[in-house]
Amino acid sequence: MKNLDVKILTKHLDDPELHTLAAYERHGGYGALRKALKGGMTPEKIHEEVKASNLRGRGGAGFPTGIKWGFLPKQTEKPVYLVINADEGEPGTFKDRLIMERNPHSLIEGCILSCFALKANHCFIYIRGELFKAIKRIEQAIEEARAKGYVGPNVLGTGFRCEIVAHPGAGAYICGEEMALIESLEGKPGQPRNKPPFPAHVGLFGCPTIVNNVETIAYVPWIVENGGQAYSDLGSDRNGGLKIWGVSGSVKRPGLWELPMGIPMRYLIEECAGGMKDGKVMKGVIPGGSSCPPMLAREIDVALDIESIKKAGSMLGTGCVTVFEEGICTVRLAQRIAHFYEHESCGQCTPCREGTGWLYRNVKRLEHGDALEGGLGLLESICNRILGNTICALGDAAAMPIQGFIQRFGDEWAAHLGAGRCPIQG
Amino acid sequence: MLTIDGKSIPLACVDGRHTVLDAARAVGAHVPAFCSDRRVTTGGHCRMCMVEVDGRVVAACATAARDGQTVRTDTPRLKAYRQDLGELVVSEAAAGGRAGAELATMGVTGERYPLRRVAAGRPRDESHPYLRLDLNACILCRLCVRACDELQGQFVYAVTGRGASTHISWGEGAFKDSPCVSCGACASICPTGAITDRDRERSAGLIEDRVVQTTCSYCGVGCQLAVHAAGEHILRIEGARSPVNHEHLCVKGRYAHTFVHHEDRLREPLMRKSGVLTPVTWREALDRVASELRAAAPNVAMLSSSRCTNEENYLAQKWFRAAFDTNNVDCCARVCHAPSAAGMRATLGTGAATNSLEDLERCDVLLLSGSNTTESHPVTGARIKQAVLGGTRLIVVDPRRTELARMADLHLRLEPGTNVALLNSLAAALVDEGLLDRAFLETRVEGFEAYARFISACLPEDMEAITGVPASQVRRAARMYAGAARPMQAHGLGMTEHFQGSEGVMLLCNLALLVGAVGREGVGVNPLRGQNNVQGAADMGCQPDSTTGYQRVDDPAVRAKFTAAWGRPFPEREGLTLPQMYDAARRGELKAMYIFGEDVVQTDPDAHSVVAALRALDFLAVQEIFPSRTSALAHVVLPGASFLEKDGTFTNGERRIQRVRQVLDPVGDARPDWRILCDLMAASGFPQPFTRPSEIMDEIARVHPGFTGVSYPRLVRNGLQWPVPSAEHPGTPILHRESFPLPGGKARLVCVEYRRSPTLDARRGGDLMLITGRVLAHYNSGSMTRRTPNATLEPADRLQMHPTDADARGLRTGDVVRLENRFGEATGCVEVTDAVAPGTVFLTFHHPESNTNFVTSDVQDRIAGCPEYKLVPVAVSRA
Repeated sequence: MKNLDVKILTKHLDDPELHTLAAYERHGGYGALRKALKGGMTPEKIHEEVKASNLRGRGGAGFPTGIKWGFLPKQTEKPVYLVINADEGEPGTFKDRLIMERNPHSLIEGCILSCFALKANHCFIYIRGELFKAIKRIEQAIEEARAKGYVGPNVLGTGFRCEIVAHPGAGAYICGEEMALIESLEGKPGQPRNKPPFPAHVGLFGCPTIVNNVETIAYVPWIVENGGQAYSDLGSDRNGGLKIWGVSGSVKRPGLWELPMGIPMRYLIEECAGGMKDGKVMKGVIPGGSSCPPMLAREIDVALDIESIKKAGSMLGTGCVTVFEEGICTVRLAQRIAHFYEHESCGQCTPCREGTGWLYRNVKRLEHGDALEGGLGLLESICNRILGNTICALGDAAAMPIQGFIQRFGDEWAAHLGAGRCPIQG
Repeated sequence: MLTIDGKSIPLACVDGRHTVLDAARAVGAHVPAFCSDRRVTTGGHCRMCMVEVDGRVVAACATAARDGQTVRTDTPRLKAYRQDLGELVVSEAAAGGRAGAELATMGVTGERYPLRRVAAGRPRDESHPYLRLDLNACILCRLCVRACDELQGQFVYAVTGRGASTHISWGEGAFKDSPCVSCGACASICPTGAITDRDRERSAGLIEDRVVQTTCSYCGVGCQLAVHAAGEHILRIEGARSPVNHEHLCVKGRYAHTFVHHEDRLREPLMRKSGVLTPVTWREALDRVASELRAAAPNVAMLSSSRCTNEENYLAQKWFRAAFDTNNVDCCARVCHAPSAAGMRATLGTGAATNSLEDLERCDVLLLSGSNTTESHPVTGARIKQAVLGGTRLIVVDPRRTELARMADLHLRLEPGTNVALLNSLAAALVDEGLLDRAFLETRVEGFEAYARFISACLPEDMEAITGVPASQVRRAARMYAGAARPMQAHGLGMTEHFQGSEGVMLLCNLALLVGAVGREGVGVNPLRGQNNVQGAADMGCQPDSTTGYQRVDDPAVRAKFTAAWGRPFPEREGLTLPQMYDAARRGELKAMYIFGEDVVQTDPDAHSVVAALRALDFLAVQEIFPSRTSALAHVVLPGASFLEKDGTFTNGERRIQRVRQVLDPVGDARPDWRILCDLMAASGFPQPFTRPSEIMDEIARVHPGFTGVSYPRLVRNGLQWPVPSAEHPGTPILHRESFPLPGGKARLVCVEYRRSPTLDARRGGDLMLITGRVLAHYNSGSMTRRTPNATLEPADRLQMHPTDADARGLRTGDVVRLENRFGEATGCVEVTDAVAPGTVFLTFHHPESNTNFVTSDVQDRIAGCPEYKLVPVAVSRA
């Protein structure tokens, strides 16, 4: 196992003033920015380091960041924009919030470096509207950085212009989808656009745009300072570096830990989170936010990297694990999840708009032992109508967990059929 | 090569502009798609058109067709998907229309997902005169939203809520209170019948037996209509595919057609007997007209009709010139765009739009003067709105804050009647700041030296006291116009209907010449012609100084040519303009008049004097489709045909000659107007050989040099833009590419000094300046639109008044007021609005009972004789 003591974003978390520029700089902050801009690093060089770092998108899809950056057109007369997806809304996920509230300058420094690498002069940080403290901390950090000359028309006197704007969202989960986020940022209802064209070509205000997650960009300064290979070496094969992992649910110590990519899930749950609380017995986990199919308790000896979890039949997602215990009815759990997606579907695509409603209503009926004729088959058929047939992935996110629950807890679900009530929780 | 279900499509079809859905349809593969329509952008919402492209499932409507793709539209998996998605669709809505029919053929039963959710919408809304909304049938394809946004630019609809509670909304309250302008695009595009209209409702159950393409007979835009008919019923009217209107229409073109069968239609010839208009036979009526006119000749006059076809206008002037030896022929261009023709002929050599409507999408700055386009030329107005939304910059010159003025980058809100001062100051700014196309001025324009000296005295700073427009704004406008790569102009009657109307138009031409904006794409000077065929009536020769093709009557060669062509001596003396005809009639010199398709009593200015003139005639004949104030004074009234009841051609404001095709038989004993004119010519001893309008066009092509290549077979699809000098010539979308048809081939800059309108010197009895004009729902005298449900949309003539003036008089919106001045009295219904400036009021003239033209003045354009409708002092008080 890798060295578990290396920390990057959480290294100085014991400093209660870390969110201030003074404290951040005291711990070496903005050194990467100086190194890059004053030390003659070219944008191309930074891009190369990010490629070498094997840094993969920390928002859930895990797309290699360096490759994504490479999608920008080589020649364009339009401005290029960097958009930070800080609309952290996936149920069970709270890692970006930690960065924004406690270590906001790591994100700001990452934004400036990334703008430099992408030859962008404008960065928009789209922050989930309910995260009041995060919004305030980010706004303060931008102001401090501007006062210090890190942000503004002439960064560190190099002539490089970098403007950063914090933009609070208005409470829609769908705005965490990159195209919906861009629409929302443009002042329109947050509804995903058809792809292609992808944002790297036609993004914000019709211009080439890179959308990255908070955590992804917050790691960029370390990569610039220490080199891409060094970051890559911190993690596992094809899954470079560290990541902030979370655990919630029926564990002794719910929380967040910064650990290498590829650590075993069991280590995270048992060693970090202290295992099950109050003598409860683990029934299963949802590995990385509510859109990931659940896994059984016996399946948690899996490495937390994108490929391993996929092989095990789920998704790494945001890396925030939700643990549930025996005695919990998975139909009721699924009903809660289905309700969420029914509520959050933007309503554009027929399969999602109607399908999420049908899923919710039928799972609810099933939970009450009053399933419609067709039972689980009907649910699976609705999932199949949705999967892969919608503009964005929200439809998939609604269907995949239901499919996963039926697959792994099929007997329990079948027991609900015609039962007249929930056989687990009454 | 692209393969769809094993069928190959050649690469030529895969040009990057087409989707996989287009390609699938091209090979006849049936892929249902509910949210896709070629008129609007891609939605990709309904997800019905999912197909497999190289094994991946994608929405065909949102996927570009590309070389090398292998597409499957009919796998069992896709079929099962669509069937089941159809079940989900019917679980949300009781879809009718084409979507409902498609779902039925797919075998969708609605039984699979029986938990029908309650529609999130509202109860059926029938508050609007035309549109009907029932959201219980809505499948949320959003075509209505896109149509309203992208075709009309009205933004009436929105998608409200999310997830299962998503629904279409139009703000608070009933639909009639929404900002809808009744263009009907939503009803036309809706696939389910959730939004439908009165026409569709009325024609339910009737089986369509034909679709006839014809040209709209309202304004001069010349929209192409696809008239769906069954027997003698109009089922509905859709916009046809055409470069003029791209399938879009307005409330008049789409909906205001029910006048055709209105009970008021004139159905038989009438003759005054013992003072009463009494039905008579056609023979009796025709003979009476012919004998009265022969007896009075040459002291007779023809007022031809800009509402009627080219062929009819040609016959009308031919008849009077050849049979009665007089050039006393005029048409209503006299009271609208005669100044445009005169002004543009003097400066550019041709009295017509230099460019085409399509140039509105090519220009990057549009200077719009004196035109409330979104109401008076709605489809062109919508096109301008789309261009502006897409980034074209707009400068509006208008005393009123019109809809487009509100959208404009710059609104030069001048004092009414000061066009010349303002345009001179714009030109002076161009010269002062050196914003000139010197190469163009050098090679293609005459008179710059003298002009530059003259204009230096008209700087914006000198003129702002007259125009009321700050000099800084004028200079900004000058920079914006001159800074454009393709600066275009369009203007309306706010330019022409003034004491210095023709001169104002010359100044617009000056501006274009100074920056070299003539003779190429996306530029030019473009009068937005008012009536459907006012361009054509003038082209055909319905004016006293020139005959067909603007060939001047004082030219002996022209007279010799027409004498030979017509077999009758051609009258030598220039004839009377319309105002001169009235004067001559009042003096007793003009004895008889033939008025064709025009209600001059309601529409000409200073109506009391018009009535006096008509009463002074020995004989007045009127050819009309409805009884009017003018026909009430006639001795003989002949029932003509509406545009839906005859064949012919109209020429729109961009010189496009387009076919008019008969859809219905004329009502009662009414006859197509060209036939009436032929009968009258025969009765006058001048028989004509024509058996159909195409033969008349063939004769026009022989005498009109610009029409040489025009014939009906060539007009089938999109018509032709004149000049068409030969049978192979493709027409001329853009004039003056190489040279100007003036001596030396050069255009002329004209020096015009601002003159105060005499109407301002006679402010007797009026402290407010009255501008008259139109509103969206009605067309001119309203004889047609008032006889349709448009009357519900706009039941009375509106008097717009600024809140300051309204407060001073204790008036509120809805109050009925009296307008008075030395010419007479009129009434109006107050609308308090800041669309007009303090001191200015605006009144429409669509309703005879308002007598709007009883208060318009006798002042005319100094050159073309066009009345000054846009400026007269009035006093306003509570009625």
